[in-house]
Amino acid sequence: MNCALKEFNKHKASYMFIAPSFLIFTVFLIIPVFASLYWSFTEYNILQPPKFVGFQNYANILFHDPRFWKAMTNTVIFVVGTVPTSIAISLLLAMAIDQNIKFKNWFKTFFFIPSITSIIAVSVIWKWLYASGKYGLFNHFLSSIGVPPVNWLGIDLTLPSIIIMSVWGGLGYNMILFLAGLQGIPQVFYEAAEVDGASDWDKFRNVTLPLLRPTMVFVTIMSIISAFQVFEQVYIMTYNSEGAVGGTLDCALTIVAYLYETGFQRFAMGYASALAYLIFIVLFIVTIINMKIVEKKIEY
Amino acid sequence: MEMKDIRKFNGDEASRPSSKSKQQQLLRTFVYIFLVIGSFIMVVPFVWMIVTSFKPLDEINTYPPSFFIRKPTFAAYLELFSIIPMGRYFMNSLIVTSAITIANIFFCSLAGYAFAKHRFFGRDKLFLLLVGSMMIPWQVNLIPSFVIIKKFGWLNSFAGLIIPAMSGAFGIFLMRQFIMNIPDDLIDAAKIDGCSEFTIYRRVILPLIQPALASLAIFTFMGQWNNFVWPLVVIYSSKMRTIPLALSVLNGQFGTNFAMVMAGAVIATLPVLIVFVSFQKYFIKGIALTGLKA
Amino acid sequence: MRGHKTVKMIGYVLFPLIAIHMICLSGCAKKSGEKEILMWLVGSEKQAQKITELGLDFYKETGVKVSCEAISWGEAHSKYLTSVVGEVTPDIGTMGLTWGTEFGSLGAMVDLRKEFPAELEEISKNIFPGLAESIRYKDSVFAVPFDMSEYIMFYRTDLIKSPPKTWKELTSLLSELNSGGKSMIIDWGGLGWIGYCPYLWQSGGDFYNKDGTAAALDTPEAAAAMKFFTDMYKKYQVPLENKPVEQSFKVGDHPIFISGNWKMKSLTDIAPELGGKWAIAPLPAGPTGKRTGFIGGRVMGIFSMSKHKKESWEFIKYLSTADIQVKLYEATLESHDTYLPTNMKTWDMMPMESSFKEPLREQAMDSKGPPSVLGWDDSTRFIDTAIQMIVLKGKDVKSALAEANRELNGRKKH
Repeated sequence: MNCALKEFNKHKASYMFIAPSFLIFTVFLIIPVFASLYWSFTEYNILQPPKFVGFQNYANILFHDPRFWKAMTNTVIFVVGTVPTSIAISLLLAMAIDQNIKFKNWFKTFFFIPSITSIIAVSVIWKWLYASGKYGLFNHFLSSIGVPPVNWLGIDLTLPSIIIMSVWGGLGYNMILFLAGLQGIPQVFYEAAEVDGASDWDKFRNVTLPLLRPTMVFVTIMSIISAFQVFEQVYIMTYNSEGAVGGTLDCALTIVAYLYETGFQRFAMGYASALAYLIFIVLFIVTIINMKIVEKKIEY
Repeated sequence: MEMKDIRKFNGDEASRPSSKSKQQQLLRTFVYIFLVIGSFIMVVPFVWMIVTSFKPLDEINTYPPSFFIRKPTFAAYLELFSIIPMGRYFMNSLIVTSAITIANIFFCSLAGYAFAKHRFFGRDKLFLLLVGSMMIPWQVNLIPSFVIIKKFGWLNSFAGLIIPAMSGAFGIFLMRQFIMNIPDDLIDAAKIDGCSEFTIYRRVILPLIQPALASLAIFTFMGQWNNFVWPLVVIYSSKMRTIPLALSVLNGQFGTNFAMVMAGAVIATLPVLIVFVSFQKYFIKGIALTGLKA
Repeated sequence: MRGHKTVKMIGYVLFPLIAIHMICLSGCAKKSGEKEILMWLVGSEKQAQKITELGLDFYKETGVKVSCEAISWGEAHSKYLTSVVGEVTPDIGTMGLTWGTEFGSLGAMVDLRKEFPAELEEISKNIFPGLAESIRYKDSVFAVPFDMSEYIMFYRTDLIKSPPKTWKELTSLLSELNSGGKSMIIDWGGLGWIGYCPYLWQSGGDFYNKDGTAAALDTPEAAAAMKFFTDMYKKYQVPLENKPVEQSFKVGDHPIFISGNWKMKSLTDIAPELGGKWAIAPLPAGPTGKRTGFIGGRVMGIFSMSKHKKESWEFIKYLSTADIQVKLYEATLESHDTYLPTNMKTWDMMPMESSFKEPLREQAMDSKGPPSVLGWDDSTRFIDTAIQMIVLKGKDVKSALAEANRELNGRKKH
């Protein structure tokens, strides 16, 4: 009888624990999500009532909208450019800081500073770094070593330039996650490996990497999701006074930037919502694939 | 409404066993060089931001670009404070951000605990829903959420800024991951002692996840402090503005007073920096889970 | 635990502070019974404060309080949008030239022509013709100009003897500069429709036909203008990317540039040592002999949800009078703002040096704004794309324009 009561108690507590979060979640996330799902099947300019159009938005996006495909391509390039790079560098950084060195906290802070600086300041600074001709700092350095100036924010290089800026800004986050993961590996395993006569490289390969996998998975999935949804940097670096985003000939237009422009500049909220759900589907598939790959591996 | 990810953070003060072999020394030198160069790259734009904020207008767009200020001046800061009531906006930001951060710590850890250690009907499905929700771009939820806030009458109020953000999928996810690592033995022991769930939460779970709580606090604070779009649409009177809103007005269409923009950015960054640095001490080494093996 | 003590301390400090702050906030509630209008200014905080200041005089005369708040350009569009959705619009909103039509045609703004026809006529008479034309949409006028921005040419008087007065003179000047590795910068509207439209108009063409029923980019005039414009990039080394104009003007790499009048202020601020060495001139004249430039700026309108429409209109009229416009202009001399009065009478009273005033006035008399055709805002992208395809991808002028023309026709709404 005690058991039954306790069982009931346990459940009651569970629901009460998640209640506040789910209340907020339902009102401010679930309901809006369903509202915008409905809108994706309408033509809606926000100021006037929506007009139902069925799957037309989706069809238009997939079959009649070259900008969508351009944005998708750009976004994939962005993800491929930022995620592996950021993960590799931040892992190296975390391992470097994890060693027995002085000034650990200083280094941690320095590497984290880009992440806490406001995006407006960051973009103003990078715009100046990337300024064309000889007036930008990068070009200034290049010219001092005899290299002609590069058009960093021109049609060919805007996307790579934003990639560089994003990797720079995101290192702090991932580094700290990896630090946490590294700290979580019990000393015992390293000691055991040393007793077995393992070299540093062996230790890395057989202890660190496998035990870091859970963290690696988490970081990878989260990085992909957030890279896919990149918006602020693109918006700020390519915004022009007309309200258009994405740079010359959409060279750096990413999918969420396109969504924003469609919904908030052109008031085509139905179309924008359809875009959002397409993004969601893509991300969902990507994540599931990611998780399937992970499940196949053996964990300690 | 957070737009940035919250990551698991667990720093450490202890060090790895060090042997004094030559190989180690060489490695350490390389490591130092790597870190110093890296730090430099990370910090230079930030330093540039501070330097620019003290420059007079005619020194800002010079060619060749320079870190030296010929005539340093506080003009940008003075002008900033004279135009914008920074004190009031600072308080607004502080109230909103602190409230959200505290609420998140509490609600997310509660829910995270339930998802991690409890078994209840619908647990996994609800969790999947939570994670899935993170994949939908926030932009589409903006207008509907806005309409909901309006219907509640919370426009232009602290309630409208704070309440929707008091908990989040990410925080819950983070807490769950961390709490999953806590050995069940501890919890069972407390139950045998007759503790209620809430007591277990308070006495067993919370102390063990301090590093995770601290990291959630930092990331939430950071994300909310710099949050721009939600306050933009919810706030329509100037006295309720938060700092990012106040600073955006400095970015004129016809030419920006860069010194003032940088000054604003410096002021905006300081609190977050302070929070980050002062919370560092809460990152106690990953509570020796190794000592708690079954 | 360590944590709790700190949290408690923070709590003891924070809560009183918060309480005080909240009390102050609510204490700023307005007295009931007094009429108050709220105006949003897309611009700087300083300018908004100046308007609030001018509102004090207005209050003395009419008993209506005015408060003006600044919102930033980048977000103004979504801000106005959400304010309409949230039914919390200000009484008066300033916005970009075409937004008045945009919001107005969706019912969010008052049709000033319907409500205050006679007084609107009064104001329109005094405004520069190009500007007056661009605020009209069919039979409605949803917003009245607040200020204007003109297209004008800047040049170094010590490096260029006399400014080019015709297209021919411009190209020969550019060739000359090119031989020294220099060129001109097109700063406002570079590689876009704003940069293109002066040439379009100067060659006698336009974006749409006379009654706005069809796009007109497939005309020979449009093609000639496009060729001339794109050649500047392709042949005369006008930079493709955004260069920091003041700097290269200072250094002399680009001793001539075309931009908006606000550059006058930034040149004075950023390059004071150039004082006396530069001047402005109207744009070079095209084949038709016209020197038509682009005119933009901000307009102000009344939101339909306003509860004080009449009072708002009074304030708008107030801001359009010559005396007040002079005061607004004078305020910009100290701040970093820009403001060009729209009332032609104001120009006589404006304390601006005639070497600047006259070219500006001359150019303003021959300027046009964006076409007030519904669907225009959606279509500008395609003109930009056409220009960029020609310059960057080598597309030929005719087919690029044909495609743009198709899109313009397709996007046109009625």
